[in-house]
Amino acid sequence: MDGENKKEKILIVDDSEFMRGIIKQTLINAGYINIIECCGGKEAILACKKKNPDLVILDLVMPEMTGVEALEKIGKDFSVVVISAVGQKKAIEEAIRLNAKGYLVKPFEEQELINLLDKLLNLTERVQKI
Amino acid sequence: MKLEKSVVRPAADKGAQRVAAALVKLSGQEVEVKVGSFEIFPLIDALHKINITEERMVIIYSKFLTKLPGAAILAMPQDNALRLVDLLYKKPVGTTGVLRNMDRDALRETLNIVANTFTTALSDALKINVGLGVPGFVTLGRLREVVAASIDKGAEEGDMAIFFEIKINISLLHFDAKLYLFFNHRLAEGLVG
Repeated sequence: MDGENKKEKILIVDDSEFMRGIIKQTLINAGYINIIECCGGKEAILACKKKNPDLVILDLVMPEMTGVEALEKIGKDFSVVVISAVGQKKAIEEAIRLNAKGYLVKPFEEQELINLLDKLLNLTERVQKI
Repeated sequence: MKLEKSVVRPAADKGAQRVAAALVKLSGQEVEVKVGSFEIFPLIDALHKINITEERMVIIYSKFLTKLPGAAILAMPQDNALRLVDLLYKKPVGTTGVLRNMDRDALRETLNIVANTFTTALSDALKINVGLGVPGFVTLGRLREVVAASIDKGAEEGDMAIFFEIKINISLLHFDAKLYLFFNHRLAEGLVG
C-alpha cells in the first residue's frame, strides 16, 4: 500500500464519532493516511491554525459553533468539503457562497467523496497513473 | 403552499425512497422503507397526537435550524434500536444488549439522517426552507415538555402539523419507527426555499 499512500493532510470535523469513523475508513480505503479529527467548529478553526490541513471535511450542524460559522472563518483559506444531513438547496447555496468547494449529503457515496478529494487535491492524474 | 395530502403524500413516498437508499449505504444490507399511516392535523393537537406510550422506546428529537417553532421526533422500540446498532456496526444481530455511548451516537446520527431526509423531501415539495438542528435523545416525559413549549411559540388556530409512521425492513428484519414532523406551517411559509 505504501506506493499508493496519499500524504495530504485531511481534517475531519463532525460531532458524531460514528460518522467520523465512516469518513475516516473511506479515506483510509482510498489511501489517505494523514487524517486528523475534531468534533466542533471551534476545534476546527484551532486545528486549521495549528495543523494546516490540505483539505477540511466539515459537518454543518454541530453544537456550540456550527459548521456554517466555522466555514465563514476558514472557507477563504482552506479547501472545505461539506458533508451534512441537511439537503435543502438553500443550505447548499449558502455553503458554496461561503467558499465550500463541494457539498455531499449524508450518507455520501464513498467514490463520490474520493473523486472530489482527489480532484481538489490535484491527485486525479497521480491516481490514474497508479 | 398549503399542507395538503395530495402534496405531502408524494413527498413522504420520495422521502421513504431516499431513506431506504441512505440505510443501504449505512448498513450495507437490502432495505425497504414504507410510509404507513400518515396524517395532517392541527398543530395545537400535537401533544395528543404524539402517541408514544411504550415504556422502552428510544426517542430522538431535533429542533429546526431556522428557529421555526416545532421539532422532528423519531421513536423506535429499544429492541429494534439494539438490532439497528448491530447492523450499523456490521455485527451479528443480537450482539448489542445495552446501548453504550458509541451506540447512542450511531443511532442519533442515523436517525438524524432519516429525519433530515424526510424533511428535505417535504421542503422541496412545499417550497419552504426548513432544516433540522442538532439531534438529541429525550425521555418520554421531557418530550411532552418540548412539544408543549414548541406549540406555545406563536401557534394559532389553523396552523398544521404532520405525522408519518414509517416501516423499515433491513435484510428481512423488521423495524418500526414513528416519525413526527410538526412545525408552524404558517410561519414556515416565510422561509421560502
